[in-house]
Amino acid sequence: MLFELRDVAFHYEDGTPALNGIDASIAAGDRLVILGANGSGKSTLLRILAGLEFPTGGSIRWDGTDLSEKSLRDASLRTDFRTRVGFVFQNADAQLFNATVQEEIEFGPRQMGLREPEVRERTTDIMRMLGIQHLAERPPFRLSGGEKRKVAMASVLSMNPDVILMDEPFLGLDPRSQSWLLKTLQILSASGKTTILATHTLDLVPQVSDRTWVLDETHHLIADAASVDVLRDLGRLRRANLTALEEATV
Amino acid sequence: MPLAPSLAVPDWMRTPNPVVASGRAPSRWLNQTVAKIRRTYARTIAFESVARARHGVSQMNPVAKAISFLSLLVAASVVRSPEVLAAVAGLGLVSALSARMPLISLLSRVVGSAAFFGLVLAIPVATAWVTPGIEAARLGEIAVTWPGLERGGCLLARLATAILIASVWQSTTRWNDILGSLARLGVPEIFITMAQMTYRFLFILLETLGDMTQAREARQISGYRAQGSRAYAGAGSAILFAKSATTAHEVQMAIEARGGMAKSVLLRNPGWSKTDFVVLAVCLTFLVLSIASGVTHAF
Ligand SMILES: Nc1ncnc2c1ncn2[C@@H]1O[C@H](COP(=O)(O)OP(=O)(O)OP(=O)(O)O)[C@@H](O)[C@H]1O
Ligand SMILES: [Mg+2]
Repeated sequence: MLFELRDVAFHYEDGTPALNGIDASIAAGDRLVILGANGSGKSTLLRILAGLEFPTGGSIRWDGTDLSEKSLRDASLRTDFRTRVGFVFQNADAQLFNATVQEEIEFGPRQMGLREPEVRERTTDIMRMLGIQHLAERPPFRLSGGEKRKVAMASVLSMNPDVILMDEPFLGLDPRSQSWLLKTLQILSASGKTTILATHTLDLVPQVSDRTWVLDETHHLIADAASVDVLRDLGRLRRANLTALEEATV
Repeated sequence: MPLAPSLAVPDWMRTPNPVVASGRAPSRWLNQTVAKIRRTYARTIAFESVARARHGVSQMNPVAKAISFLSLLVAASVVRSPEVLAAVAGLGLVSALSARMPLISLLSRVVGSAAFFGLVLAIPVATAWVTPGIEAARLGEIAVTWPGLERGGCLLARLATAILIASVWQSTTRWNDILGSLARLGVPEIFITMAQMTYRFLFILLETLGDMTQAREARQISGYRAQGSRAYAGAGSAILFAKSATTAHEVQMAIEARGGMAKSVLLRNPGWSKTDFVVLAVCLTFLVLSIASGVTHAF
């Protein structure tokens, strides 16, 4: 198993609960979607999977080893984890910290110790893939919302992680970019990558996932099943507050 | 001209990464420092809940409180007798207790800031260069004198008291009410606006900094060589400021879109109660006492 979560709970420093008793696991090659209403804990769960926050209760294992603030201090675990797990933040603004788009995309590959020509090759390829070559010299924090999201995605894809965590990846993309992302995710998982997306838009779920987790508003995992079955079980979605008003009141 | 996205997935993306040499573990310093600053920030928000919960001085009329605390601040800076200074500090502690402030974190904040200023102010003052007199101790070139120690110590005590009082005022009053009451007392709007903007900018700066370190953490694999680290610290802070400025500008626009420049209005403006008058009288008495103490004592 890539990830094993045992009774994971999380609350923020001010006491706000975000996750409760999460028991689940993720295998290599899974295509997983995490559904849940606003504030149900999706982003928090992704940050825990990305090793940026650590459970305040229970434990999480990565590839058989315990994942904690302490264990990630070990250089070899850290290298393995950070090169194999990529995370695209919900708020692209928060994710960009370099002076230009090009440097932003080069940061990861350079960190990995790739040689300069390879770093350049990856950056060029990625910018071409996303159609953002014209932004190369711009400062990332002065782009449009959708452009920022593409740069954020590019900066993670350039590291070629095995596990791709994306928080609300379709948000703010124009229709052409949305269908591009959809197809790209399909190609990536066909080549063996694990994709884990958080969302509350139901219509794209069948196309990007085989399995779906549903978090309810008390931050519990109330479903872990095949996406088609979860989508069919409207009662459960209603309990998680995921259907529109008129549907929910039927 | 923007180009269409392409579905040609490059070969390197279809195969696993080459094995990467694992470097040194990165320095935890930056992350830990930011985490610490964020904790302080969380605590400040917790204090805002002290200001909202109505106990003791937090339920005073903001204007009465502003006059009271300002006179205590003036008292702490002009007082010349140690006893009166101690009494002023005691008054600060009592008002903190009345508002049920968490004492430990208040005191650690006061001691922390006083220690910081102590390093930059009190220690130089204690040396023979600034305050000549009988030598008390010597460390190589640096000689510390008895009168210097007394002056330095006095400076520190005054400072700690002032910080204590300012902290209690700030923690038991919502920021808007502090600014609003200052405006009532005739402080020019321009200063109030500047204080408002600084405060807001500071918070945005902290949030942006937190985001940036977490984002970096997510993509950082190995430690930096010292040189790269310095370069990052330099470039990083420039970007941090540019980013925060962009966000602050957006916040500014959001305020304008919702009805113009935020005026400093009192969120809470109850009439003056008996307590307000009593506290004010006590504080003014201390102010008079500390001014008078200057005539009688030499502290
Ligand atoms: N930094 C924080 N400090 C305190 N509480 C937080 C923080 N971030 C999130 N929360 C709280 O934790 C809970 C879970 O938040 P989270 O961001 O994981 O939700 P989400 O499912 O991603 O929601 P959305 O669909 O709106 O993105 C919410 O109640 C939220 O208010
Ligand atoms: Mg979220």
